[in-house]
Amino acid sequence: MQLRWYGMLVLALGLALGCAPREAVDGEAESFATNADANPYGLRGRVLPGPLAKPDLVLTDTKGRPFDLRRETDGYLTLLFFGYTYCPDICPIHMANLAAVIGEMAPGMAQRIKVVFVTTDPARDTPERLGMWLANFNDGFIGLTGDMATINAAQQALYMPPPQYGPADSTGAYLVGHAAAVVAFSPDNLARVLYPFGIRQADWAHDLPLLLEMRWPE
Amino acid sequence: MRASDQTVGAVASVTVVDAYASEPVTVDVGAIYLTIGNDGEVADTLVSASTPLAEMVHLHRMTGIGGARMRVQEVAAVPARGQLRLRPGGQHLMMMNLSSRPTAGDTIDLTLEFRHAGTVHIRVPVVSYLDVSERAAVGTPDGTQ
Repeated sequence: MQLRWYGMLVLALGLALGCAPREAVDGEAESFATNADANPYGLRGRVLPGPLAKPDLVLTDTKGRPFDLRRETDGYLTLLFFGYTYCPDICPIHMANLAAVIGEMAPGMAQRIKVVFVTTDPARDTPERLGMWLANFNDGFIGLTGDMATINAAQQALYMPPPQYGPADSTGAYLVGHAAAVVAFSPDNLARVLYPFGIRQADWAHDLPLLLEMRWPE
Repeated sequence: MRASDQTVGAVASVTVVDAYASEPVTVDVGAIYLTIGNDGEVADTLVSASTPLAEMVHLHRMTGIGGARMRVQEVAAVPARGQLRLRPGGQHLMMMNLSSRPTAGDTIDLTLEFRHAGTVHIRVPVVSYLDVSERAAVGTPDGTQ
């Protein structure tokens, strides 16, 4: 039974993460709107077959201070994303969409949401750089860095593939492959829903209020 | 925009349409998306791209399992009687080390070099990431059609 559940989980994550770029370009027929019928909650994100624990780790925030992920985000709808500031589209698009939608929400609702961006490129993404980059979107977004082992542990806890680093070009720049989905945690620190790349503002505007009020089964 | 409007006589059957760039967050990187159409009977190849705005332009492609895994490509094929689409989450032209940060409403001068069609100059409008996001969900995964 345990094994079967695990298999289902890996399958769900594999599809959601592995095919994120594909889903982003599959066309309107595959719009996330159609996914609302695919789960009993009416959400446009991909509901996990079972909840996953929020990684219990201490990272470093954009001011250089320790940040206990589980403790600091406990009680909030937490939207966690792994990316990097040299990222051309997936990372800034997720952040821009979230900033736009959260910026339009009533303050009382927006205050119950925390957006957390963990870098997969700590060599280049200093706390200062992360902070400046995120402030382009919303200065309330939380940027975190840390040593690679801790960042990898956070991703592994969510069954996400570890980042991959491409070769440096003549300017020293390199690409970083990373998971493309935002992970939504309910206020009880459990991952519930994945939002692959391709999710749109309208989908977030639809789902975030639902997620704030959602009563998940035990 | 028809490429032939820009470089008369040099472009044979290649057209570049739906070009746009995301408003860069930093001067380090910026992405350009476009669709290259080829009305001809012979496949063409995009061999390089350049802009005065950036030190270099790479073609990047998202590949494989695991999300935003990217690879630098040397060239990109434009199939005969077909299209090459560069779009968010798929392939894009990555500008590296920009001399300034253009904002939505600006345009970027871009030069594309094709193996057969030669040089094509286009002007690429800069749009916000929100606009980029809204354009992200049409087409096929590998960019060719």
